[in-house]
Amino acid sequence: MESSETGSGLNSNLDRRSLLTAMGVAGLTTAPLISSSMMSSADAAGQTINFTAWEYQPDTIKSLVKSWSGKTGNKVNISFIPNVGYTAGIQARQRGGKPADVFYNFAYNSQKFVNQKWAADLRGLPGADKMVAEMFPSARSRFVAENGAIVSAPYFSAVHMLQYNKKMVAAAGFSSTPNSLQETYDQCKKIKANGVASPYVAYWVKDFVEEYLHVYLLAGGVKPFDNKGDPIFMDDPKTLEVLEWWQAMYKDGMTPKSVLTDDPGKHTTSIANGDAAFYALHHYFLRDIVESKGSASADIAQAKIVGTGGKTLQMGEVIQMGGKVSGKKKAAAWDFMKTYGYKDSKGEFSTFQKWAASGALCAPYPGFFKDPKVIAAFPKYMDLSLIQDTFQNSSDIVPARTLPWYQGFQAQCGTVIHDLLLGNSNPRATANALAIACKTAKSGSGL
Amino acid sequence: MKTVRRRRPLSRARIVRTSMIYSVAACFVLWILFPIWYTISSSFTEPSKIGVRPTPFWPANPTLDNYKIVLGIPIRDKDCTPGVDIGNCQTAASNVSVNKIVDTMLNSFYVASTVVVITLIISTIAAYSLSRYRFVGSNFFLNFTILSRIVPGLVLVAPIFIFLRVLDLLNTPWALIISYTSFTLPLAIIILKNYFDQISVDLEEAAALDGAGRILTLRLIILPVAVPGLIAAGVLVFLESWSEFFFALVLTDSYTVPPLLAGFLSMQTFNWTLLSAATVIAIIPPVLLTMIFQKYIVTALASGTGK
Repeated sequence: MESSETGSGLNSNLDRRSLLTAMGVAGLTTAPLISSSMMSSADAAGQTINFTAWEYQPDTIKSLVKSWSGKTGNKVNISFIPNVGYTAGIQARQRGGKPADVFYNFAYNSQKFVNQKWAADLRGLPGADKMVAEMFPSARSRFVAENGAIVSAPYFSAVHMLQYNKKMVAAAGFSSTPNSLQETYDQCKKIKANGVASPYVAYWVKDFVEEYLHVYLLAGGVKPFDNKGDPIFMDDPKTLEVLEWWQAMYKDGMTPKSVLTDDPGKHTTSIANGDAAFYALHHYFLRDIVESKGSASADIAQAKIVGTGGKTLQMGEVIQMGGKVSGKKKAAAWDFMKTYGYKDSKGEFSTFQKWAASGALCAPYPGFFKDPKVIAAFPKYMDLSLIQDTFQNSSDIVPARTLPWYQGFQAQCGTVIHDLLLGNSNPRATANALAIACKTAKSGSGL
Repeated sequence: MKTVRRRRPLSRARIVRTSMIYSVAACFVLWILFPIWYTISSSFTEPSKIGVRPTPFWPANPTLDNYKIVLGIPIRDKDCTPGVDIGNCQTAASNVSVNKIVDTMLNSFYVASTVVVITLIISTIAAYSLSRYRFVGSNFFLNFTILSRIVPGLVLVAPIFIFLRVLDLLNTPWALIISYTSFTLPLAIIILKNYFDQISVDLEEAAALDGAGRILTLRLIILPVAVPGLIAAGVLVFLESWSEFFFALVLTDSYTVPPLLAGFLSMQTFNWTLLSAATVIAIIPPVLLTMIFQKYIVTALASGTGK
């Protein structure tokens, strides 16, 4: 934690991209030396780690923990908190003086937790630099703050993809999925004319629509924020085109009217039963669509949000180490984190192999996609090379999304976007309102 | 002599008024029952059929699989091709906690029952005192009791968390029993004080003439008369303890039913059918309890309205 404070002043004027690149190079060259000279996991045997996770596949989590405990001789007490209410639960435990040693966190909270000293800066821990260096360059800034602090390790990563009905697209006379937002509208219109009442579904509820703002801005070729985290989307004329497109999709009935409140389960049912042709959401939702075994499940494939066009949003959540963990426990906690969010002691992505098999979740490492065990474990109906290409070449994490003030903007986004979709606002006013929401959140940052 | 009572002919105005009352009542009943019907219907629906349009009144092919999964009973999936279409089929990891519903229901029952017992003992004495004695600050105490219901639990959770951490009671049933009692007590005191106010003082005066002291009078004379009020307060306290979410979320690791149910909504993966099945199972005890003691609840809550 002290190193975080020191580093802040030294690196404040360094360009973020240069810093991350330099870290990557430095990490790859120095990591073996550092890791051999610093504490090893063997020093940390016999420790008890308190691990807090949200309740996604609890049995998988237990088996991962059991496997690590068996290999290292350390004990792990797992505490599950439901995903709904996780932030409140974990913050209450932090404030109440019973923090976890290692815990899941939402990426948007990660820097805030380090600033608050609820989570540790991982710089200097053996292999931390190497972990960052091995990531896709596009993913690094989710885990590294502007001052160089390594705030977290990956829990999982995903990219927004377009799940689509091959037969419907072909029947409408298209040889490929849309390569731009405008083409998305055009294909939807044709498919609608062919009898599909609401061809496009997406999880546009208030709490989640902020992700789509970035999905569509990136698809439209807009860079939402500059390297300092200041909003610049409102000055880009393409932003207005994106917002016009978005409003038209809803107003012209390309989506169901209930799309502003529908949940992913309903969308999954909709596309799996042939009631929709396109479903934009994280790549792993294809698994739900196929496994739900609807009448059209077998016809659903995956494509980039705008094909050969712009980029898409890369998202993911993280694991962090408690800010008060020290000594041998810190070594054990870090070893656990490395196994969970990077590689195990044998250098394998053993945790991610398991997540790939059980949830089609990805890791932000190129090596993950080349791992034969991952390839074997990943659902066969998913195009892993397409997903890898999207991670590598066609996605952006929008680094501002992890900044401490960002949640304030996120909370405002839903109302502003829904106003646009419902026709209560126009694209220009929406862009301005979003920019104001950013600036307001930024000026009032803090817990 | 047998008298024949002739029914008064219904006036047009009366017919209209009665129809309107019944229409409003019917709408209200539908409004109340719709979520319950939807939950029950969803619990028998295959995941791929949830949310289909038009919404069927009852699933065409009802299934018990959701209940089996929630209860941890293995299901046979005849369409599954292991390793090809749905990963590991029956052995595939569940997204949510299964096979925990019965355990957490037992935990909820233990917590709620203990809270009821503790709350009723303390609140009976407190409510009787407030009803029968005028002491310095009695009005303030009563008003403060009512006001304490207004304070949001969110504000109280942090100090309660620290208190329980110091006592090393976090993640134990006592963490919930202690915290729930703190906010069920005011509710029970208000209900019971109101009920005791309705009981004639003459009974106690007669007991006093026979030589009974206050405690004996309370035990032998007042409590038997106040049984409906005690039952009503007990049921309401039980329901409040059974359904409480936030304290259970923060103070324990999904020890009781509500956080377990919340765990069915995870990472944008909404397991509606499993959630519905778990909800149906989880509401059985409170529904039974309410049905059994319904008349006492209505009587006790209505007491004092005719003052």
